[in-house]
Amino acid sequence: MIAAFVFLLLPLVVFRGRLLLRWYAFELASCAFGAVVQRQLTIDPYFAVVLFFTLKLAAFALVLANAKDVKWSANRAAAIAALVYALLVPAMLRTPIDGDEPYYLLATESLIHDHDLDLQNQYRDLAHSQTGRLDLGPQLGDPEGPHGERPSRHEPFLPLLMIPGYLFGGLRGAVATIALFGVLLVRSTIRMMEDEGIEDAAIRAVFPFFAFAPPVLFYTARIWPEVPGAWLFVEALRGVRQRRAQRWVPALLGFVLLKLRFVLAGAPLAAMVVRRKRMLLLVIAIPAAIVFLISGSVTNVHHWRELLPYAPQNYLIGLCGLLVDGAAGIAFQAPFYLLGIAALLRWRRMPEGFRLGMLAASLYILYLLPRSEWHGGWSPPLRYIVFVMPVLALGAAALWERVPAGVVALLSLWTIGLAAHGVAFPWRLFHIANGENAMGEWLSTKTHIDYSRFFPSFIRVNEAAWIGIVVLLALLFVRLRSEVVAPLATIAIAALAFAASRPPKHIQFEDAHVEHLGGELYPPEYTVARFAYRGGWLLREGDALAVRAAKGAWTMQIRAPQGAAIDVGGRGYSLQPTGEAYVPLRVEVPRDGRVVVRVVAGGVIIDRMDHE
Amino acid sequence: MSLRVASSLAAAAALFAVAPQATPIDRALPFVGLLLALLALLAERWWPAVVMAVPLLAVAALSLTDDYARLLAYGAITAVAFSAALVAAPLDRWRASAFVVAGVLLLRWIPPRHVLRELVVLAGALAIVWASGRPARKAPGVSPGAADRGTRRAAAGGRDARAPFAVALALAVTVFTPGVPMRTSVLPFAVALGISCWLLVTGYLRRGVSTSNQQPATSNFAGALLAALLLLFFPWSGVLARATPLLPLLRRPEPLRHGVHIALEPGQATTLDVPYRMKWLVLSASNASRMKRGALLGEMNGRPIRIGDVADWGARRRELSYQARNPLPRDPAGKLRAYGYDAWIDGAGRIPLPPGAKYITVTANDALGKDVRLQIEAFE
Repeated sequence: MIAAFVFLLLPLVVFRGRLLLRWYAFELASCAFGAVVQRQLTIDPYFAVVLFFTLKLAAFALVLANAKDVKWSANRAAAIAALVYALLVPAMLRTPIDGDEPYYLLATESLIHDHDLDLQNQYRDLAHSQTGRLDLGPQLGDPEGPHGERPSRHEPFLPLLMIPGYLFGGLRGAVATIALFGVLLVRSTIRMMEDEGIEDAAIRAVFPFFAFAPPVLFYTARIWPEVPGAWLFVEALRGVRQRRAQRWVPALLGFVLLKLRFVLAGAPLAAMVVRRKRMLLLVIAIPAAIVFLISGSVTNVHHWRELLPYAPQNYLIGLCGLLVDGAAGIAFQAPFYLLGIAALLRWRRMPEGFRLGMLAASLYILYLLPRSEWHGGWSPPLRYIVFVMPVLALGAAALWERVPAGVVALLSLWTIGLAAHGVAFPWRLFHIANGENAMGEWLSTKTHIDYSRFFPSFIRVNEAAWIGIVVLLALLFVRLRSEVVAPLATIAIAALAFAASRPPKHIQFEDAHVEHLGGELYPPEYTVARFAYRGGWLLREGDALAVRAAKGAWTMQIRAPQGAAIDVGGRGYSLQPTGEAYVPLRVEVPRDGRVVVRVVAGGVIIDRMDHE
Repeated sequence: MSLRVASSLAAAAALFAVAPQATPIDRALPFVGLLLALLALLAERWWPAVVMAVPLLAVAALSLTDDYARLLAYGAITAVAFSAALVAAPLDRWRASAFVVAGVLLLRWIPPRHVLRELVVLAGALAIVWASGRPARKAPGVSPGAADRGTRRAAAGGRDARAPFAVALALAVTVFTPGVPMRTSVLPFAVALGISCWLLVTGYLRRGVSTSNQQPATSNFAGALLAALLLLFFPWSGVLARATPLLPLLRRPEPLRHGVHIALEPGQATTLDVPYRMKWLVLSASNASRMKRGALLGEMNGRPIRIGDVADWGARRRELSYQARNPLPRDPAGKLRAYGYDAWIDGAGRIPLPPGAKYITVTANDALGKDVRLQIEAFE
């Protein structure tokens, strides 16, 4: 009901006269159609409602982008964003907050109740915390004070900002505070686009892709510093472009205080604008001094060693992963921003603000790429580059008139799916980074066919990953005609269906297409930085797995600390104790089709199996 | 344009590789995709958006393993794409006719049967559209020779005000036209004639009053909504046409049943043990399609069983529906048989078992016709 009311208000912000009447006529018709469809549905009714309103929002955005007679300004865009985000906050809080979120909230509670940052007593009394989590304890790498204090490793500026909201409405108030920053981010981004000379029509077209699409949509109603950081980064950029120190200096200060890693983007920006070295040192020294005062270290929990170069292949994997990884890459999780990537190729023709923003962020991205958590860790996708999104959106807007309508339609459909899925199932935004993604898992679970292998993964590098990069490069360099987009998309799906009918050459036993008839995931799902481990499926005596496999010889990567006996498709194999190492075991699959792997004695962890 | 046509064909052809073979609708998916892709051509600048229905159909075919969910997804995608094209296209009579042909093909031609009759019905549908269209007025700046051509009307900023609703009306009339027996195919022509008369009379009464050439939004969206509601159910258009109130049955999961499968002759009785936790008896009639509401079929433990509680098992078939006199069962328990315009739901109905009954006796009325049977299908 609230959503319906909000959707009645939305057109009042921007539509007028005949257009407004036409919109309400459409509203009536779409609601009637939705009501009939809803009566016939067998799927999760909540998802159906979310999908319905997402589609309506998309229709609204379509009219907003194409109608001639609309009232438009950055403030109106912010008002639209505020209305939609008001719906988003309760939707995202259907499940307890996760990842770093509860720690930020605990710090807010500690500041309010104890006037300190020590979370020891908060951990002891979680039942009275608004986090809704009783399983919290100090995170890996949290500092320990001289008297046993356990402050969070996270910077305290965000908890400080959430205090008014928390006092007003507890957890919801805290999340609403972030949503408020989201509204400010939308307004500032629109203003930045206007400042950079982007046409109104392009801004209106790009606006929903930025405000109501991942990753901004998901981080707007979650307690992470990414959205406030993005707002401050945009404000700093605007301040620098307008040469208004009173805008960019406080913005940059806040930006760095939110998260120390942002200094890698803030410092280059400051360096580009501050001509005098002393002034530059001062700009960097102030936040460093504040961090030192709070945490007792200029680098907080980080170390100077983190700035040393990594192996070259790590940069490649990180870069390719951020571009096309199925679970954490721009192409699959926020495809609209591919236009921003395309804008990079037209560097000279891009607005000054875009070039400035990308240059400022480049050092940060360079340091992010080789790190093992380039994909964000336990968080919604694209966490570490959310603050760059307004700049990429600016690039996309500058490019908008050249984008074929077919590409826009495809991006829209994919984005609608992502948004509806993420809002309806907020817990699925967190992924264990095992090389699969939500869509691959869903298809695999339903069919017991390994669909995940067709989605590029640079977390667990697969063949599709390199194909994905080649396809992306081709798409970036070849100008697609609008007419070929739909057939290409259909042919791609047809190719997927055809390829899926063939058994895989590699099998990862923790994947969703495997029927797990006992046993458990190893390491367990909530292991901190689980992606750093070599994962698999833990089987004890009597447990089994079933999987589709081709006939022939396979090499299984297996670990049996105490030794074990297993049965693969009716043939027995005995394993000597392997200790903590994975060893190859050659097995024979007797025929094409479903094969059962059963542990007869002992216990094993099976990682993967490769066809010879 | 030729590239768009080629793209539409390629997209539809790709559906061959994706479509499962589970139902006739799945097998007709490339045909559905082709129709939508061609209709998208009429939507002109909205073509890229409307033609996305084709990859969406492919996604539904690939990802939805449950037959009902998949077919409903096809219906929803088709309905939205068709309606969007209907609203977006600069409609003249020819384009409206193209929409009608596509709609009728979707609603009545899967599977293709009774081709001659169907062609007559299609002609009737086109007659409705042609009867509904307002004669083209000469628009400023348009050459006299072009005034009759709807495309020029669109170019001049006007379009046929009634066209979307006329298309939807034509589709609605054709869906509910039985076609069997042949004489019922006259229905669309009768509607077309009625519309013509109505327009003549209202035109005469309004003569001298200037009217706007711009179409009202409500008429557009009402037409689009009606078309969408019809096409949503195109995978079961037979049920929509002949047993609309039974549409909610389609989503009902298969109930737990204990089969009996006995057909009682007139006067015959049988006693059955009631299986554990069963609460309903599912019955239908055979060769009883001409019996009217309230006609006594038999009794269960003294409780009368009448037409209305149950119906003739096959009364809602395409060939029988028009002549059947049975009402739909009060508590329907039929199953979906066939798809497309052939789809129908059998006439089984449920009656509650006496509370706590360990066994029941069902007796067929001895006054039933010689060929009529009371069928005990299952406990539920």
